[in-house]
Amino acid sequence: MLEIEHAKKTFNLTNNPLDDRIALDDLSLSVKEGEFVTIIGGNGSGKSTLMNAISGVINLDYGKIMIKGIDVTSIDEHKRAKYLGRVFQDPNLGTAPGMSIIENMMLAYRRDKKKGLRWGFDKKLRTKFAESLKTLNLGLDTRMDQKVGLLSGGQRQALTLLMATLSKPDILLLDEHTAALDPKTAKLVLSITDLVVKESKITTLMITHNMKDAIDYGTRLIMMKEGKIIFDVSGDEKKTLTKEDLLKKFDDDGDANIAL
Amino acid sequence: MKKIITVLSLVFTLALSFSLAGCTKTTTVGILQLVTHDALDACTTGFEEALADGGFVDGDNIVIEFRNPEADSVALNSYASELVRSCDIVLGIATDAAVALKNARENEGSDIPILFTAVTDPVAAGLVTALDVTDNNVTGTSDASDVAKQIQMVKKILPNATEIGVLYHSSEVNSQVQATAAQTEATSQNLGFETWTVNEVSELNATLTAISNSDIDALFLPTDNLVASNIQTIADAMIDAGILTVCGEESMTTKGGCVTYSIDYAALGVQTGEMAVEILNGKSVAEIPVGNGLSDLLVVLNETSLTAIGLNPDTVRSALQGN
Amino acid sequence: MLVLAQTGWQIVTGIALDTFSSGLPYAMLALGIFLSYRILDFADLGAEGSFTLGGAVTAVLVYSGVNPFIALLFASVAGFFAGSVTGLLCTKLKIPALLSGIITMTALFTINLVIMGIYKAQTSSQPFNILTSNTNYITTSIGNRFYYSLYAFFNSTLGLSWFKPLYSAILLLIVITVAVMIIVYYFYGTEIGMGVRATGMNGVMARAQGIDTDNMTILGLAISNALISLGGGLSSQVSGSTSSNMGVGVLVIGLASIIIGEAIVGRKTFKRNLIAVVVGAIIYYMIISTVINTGLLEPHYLKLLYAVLIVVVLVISHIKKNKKQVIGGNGLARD
Repeated sequence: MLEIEHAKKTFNLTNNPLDDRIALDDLSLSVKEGEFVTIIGGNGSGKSTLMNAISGVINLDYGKIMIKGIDVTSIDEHKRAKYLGRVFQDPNLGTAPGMSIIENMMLAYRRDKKKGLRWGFDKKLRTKFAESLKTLNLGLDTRMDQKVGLLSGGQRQALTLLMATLSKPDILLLDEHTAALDPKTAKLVLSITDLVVKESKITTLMITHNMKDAIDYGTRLIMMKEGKIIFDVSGDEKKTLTKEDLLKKFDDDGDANIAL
Repeated sequence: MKKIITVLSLVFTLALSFSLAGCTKTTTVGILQLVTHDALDACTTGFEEALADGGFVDGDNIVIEFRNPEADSVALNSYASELVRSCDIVLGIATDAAVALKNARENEGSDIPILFTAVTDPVAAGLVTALDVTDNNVTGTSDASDVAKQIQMVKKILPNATEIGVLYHSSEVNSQVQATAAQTEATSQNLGFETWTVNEVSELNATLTAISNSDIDALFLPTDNLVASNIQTIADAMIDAGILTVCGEESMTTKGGCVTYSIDYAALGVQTGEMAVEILNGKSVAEIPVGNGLSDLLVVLNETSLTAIGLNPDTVRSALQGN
Repeated sequence: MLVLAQTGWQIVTGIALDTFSSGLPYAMLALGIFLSYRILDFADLGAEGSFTLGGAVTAVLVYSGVNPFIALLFASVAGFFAGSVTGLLCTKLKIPALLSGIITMTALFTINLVIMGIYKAQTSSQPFNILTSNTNYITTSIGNRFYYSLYAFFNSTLGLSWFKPLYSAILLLIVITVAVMIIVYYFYGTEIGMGVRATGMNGVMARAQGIDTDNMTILGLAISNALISLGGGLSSQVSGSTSSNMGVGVLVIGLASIIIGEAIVGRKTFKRNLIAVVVGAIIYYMIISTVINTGLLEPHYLKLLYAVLIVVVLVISHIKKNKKQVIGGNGLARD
């Protein structure tokens, strides 16, 4: 489903080459259809850069990215969107605050379709969207005409998640999407995530700061450091994995900058 | 919606209680002066004087409504409509004011006579059909200067002059027209003629050097925007070279040029006021062609500049007096 | 007393006529500025150039014998291209928004002079006097205005002698404004229109939803400037004259109209916001023409009045917002 080959990306922070920061260091990754990959790593380990490279926010210096066998390495961000559903760390980034819930969902529904001069509201879709909103159990189905700017952060993230899967994406990219929420809401959004992913069997990449979540959710776990994958575990081995194992793995590599 | 109605009614109530401008049975004369400016102020004063001399005194048998929008376009149009609605005859001072009045009259479907003054090209401004065809109830006075008269000054001041030149900005059509007129007059006076043009300010210094090294006795400076805004630089260079500068208008002379004939705006106002008196006494506007200020030209000298090129200002003045 | 009442009535009708005839072309301008400033979140300084561009194109075409309605259409098309240029500079050449607008405005200044020069070259024969004449000035006679045929119909065909040309101008201006509002409302409700709105609110989200934010920005600016140019064309037709500096200060007028309208009518929905902008422009002109017609203030205080007006409205809308937040208890992180 997703193939990344020898991805390299360096950020020039100053004019001095000595200050360059290597974000992706010859990284290769292959994700099979239906896999739910959790990604952990310290600050600056390159996990967000990896997400941005897949979604096209940044271009790679070297390497190749393929989705469903299609080479997307040099395709614009908005054109890649038809393959990808994305949820961001900042709850403000995933929705248009000045538009109503229904309008946001209409936009998301057309993520992989050509846009023309047809009227943007489809009455038939309204009932469909209302049913999807009901599954969130947040009461949003009765507030469909309210502006998204009036929703709380947790509600927005749940809505963004729903929007990302409204028109089934090939890959779902979750970039620490619960990090900005309070623990209770974070838990709720995560359980919704798990439900949605399992139900529609979407190939998913989820960055998290929380080791427990990384272990509890998903079918595969990747640990990143200095732009490389230093640990990759899946199947039964992942099911028996403990927090201590991960901490040890971190320690082995002498990384003091761990996140729990 | 309620709020809108509240605001609307509030404004209208205000309007009612402050109803200052008004017209009763007495004849009302409206004056719309574009902006406060010495020349335009002189027009207003001259116009009012001529009305009084003709037997129409403000506050006595006529009411004069004076408006000055200070060049604000919104105020200009509002004042124009207001005056057209409430007055019997209106005067527009400067092109924009006269055009605004004519437009307001058209929009209001009114037919009151309109006078104008301090308008350079009333035909191009669409005010009159031709200078002697005033068939749409608009007439007045033009402040166009006469290039030929300016060129005639050269031989009066320097009887031995053999060659003159002109300097202007190449992209100004209006300056080209003046330069051609200057050449025609120079040729008829047996004066050699040379033309210098600049494309932009950066070329000016090189051109001025070329002029200084030439054989011309006098340089004509038309009413050109580039020349007018760099008049000090140009005047200084000509003084160093001992060349007489003949300017297209007054402010260029006071800023360093040597001489010019200027329109007497007070006299222009008086002339327009006399037209108003004739119209108020029943004369048809169509019988009054557009007037000009060429018979009342004022000699304007810059004594410092003249002295600097070795000419005696008093001698020059007496040579120019009486046109 | 009767005389006073009559005079009062005359002033009121005068204010009403001025308000609608001058205010509606500026309502069009305000709609255009609203589409860039509010919808795209793009402070487009090119507006001043586009406004003059509309006036210049309309005047020159009408002078050459083109039907005024078609001339106005061409004015909008010219504005559409001007806006596209600003958009291209900003998105494809990565020039900051503010600077892109300034570049277009600067270029338009020359372009407008060239367009107006076409007319000038045909009519001018007299030397100018810098003191009193504007060298870049075009007048349009009443027969060449978009509302003349309607006036002729009422006045001559129907024989209504009381019907002034100004009435037909106001009637047509209302029709044009409402038509443009409807078109804008529908366009911004289409798939592409929603894309433009999303681009202005949240570019990251828009791209994630497969929207080409660069193209949407260019399109949004083009439509915005088309309306601004149309406003300039209408304004030059109603006032009968076009000058090369007619666009100076229009940005402030547009922004003031938006702010006033939003404070009074509100901005709950897109439809309401559109109405707010038009109402704002009309109220702005009503206040100013009241001040002028009643002689409350000398014109040289006008600019100060504009400034005070904007501050007062901003303060009022701020107080209103705070009140709402206390009552609703719903702290808005973003507007």
